[in-house]
Amino acid sequence: MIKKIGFIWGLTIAILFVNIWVYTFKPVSHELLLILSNVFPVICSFIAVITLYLVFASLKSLDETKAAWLMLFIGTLLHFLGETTYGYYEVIAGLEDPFPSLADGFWLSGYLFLYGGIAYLIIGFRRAGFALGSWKEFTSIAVLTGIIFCLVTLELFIPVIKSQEVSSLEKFLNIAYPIGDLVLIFLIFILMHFTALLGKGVFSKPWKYIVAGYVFMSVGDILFSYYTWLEIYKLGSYIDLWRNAGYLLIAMGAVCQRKVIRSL
Amino acid sequence: MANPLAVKIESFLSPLLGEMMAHSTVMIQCKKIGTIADELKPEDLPKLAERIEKALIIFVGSEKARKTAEAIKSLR
Repeated sequence: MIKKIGFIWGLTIAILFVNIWVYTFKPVSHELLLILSNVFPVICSFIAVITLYLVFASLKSLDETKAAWLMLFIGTLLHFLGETTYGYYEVIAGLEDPFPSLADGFWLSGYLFLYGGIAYLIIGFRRAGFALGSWKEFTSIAVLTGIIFCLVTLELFIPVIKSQEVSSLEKFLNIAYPIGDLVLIFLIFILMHFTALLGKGVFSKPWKYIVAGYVFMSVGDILFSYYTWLEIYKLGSYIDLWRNAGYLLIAMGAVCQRKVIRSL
Repeated sequence: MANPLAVKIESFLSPLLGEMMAHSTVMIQCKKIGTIADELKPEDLPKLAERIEKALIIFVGSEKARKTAEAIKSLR
């Protein structure tokens, strides 16, 4: 099993290394860069989907834990379908900037399952009767999320709402994504707090990767929304790396979780 | 915590939950079964193991939590 963790680490580093190398030096044509920038997220999300499914399958009884991992699996599967559909539109159908599209339907519905999965883990931790930390720590989480929310509102929500250049559907989607990410960040901060309480215990390891993965994904998403809104997002932007790294961290969390389950 | 049984359980849980959480789990779950960690007796173990089993479900699922609880019961 240690070999499997080593393998997923190696795979993560290799994919991100190639990704960074291609984006930094751009040693390929514009067409190939377009293909690669669509293929990287499909590969990364696919790895996350497979590893999350393996965790789901390794849990025998249908309980809140299995439900949590099932929801994380479905949410990530929908994001994989979003990445694949978007890639199809851009690379095969040749559509430039396919927004809004069916891919948005997959991505946005995926959030609901991710919320469900993370909420199950939080509720399960609360029900378990562990020490939850002080109200000061929860206040800090609320304040930190509030600050991020204010920044996103000032820099993105207000300009989007005021804009008269885009359709109502585009306005809705431009606001729905960051809101989806902010809710995810709030839930992830709570899970991060619980994970910190677990210290160096082996049960905390998978959660640490999962938390890091969703933080990377959410930050990448918010930056993507901001950059595309300002129309300064370019093909082969480093912003894509956040999301790709997020998927791979989630995959590492899933591999770790399976290792923990099988070790008992 | 001076009770050797409570210390044993805490040592068993520490690699899984981390030292701090293992300590607080033993304290909290003992309280929930109507005792305190320093007065824990071997006859309290089944009840305590059952409580800890419920607490561990979220990390590893019911089946593995049950297995872990069985191991705790055998710590007498």
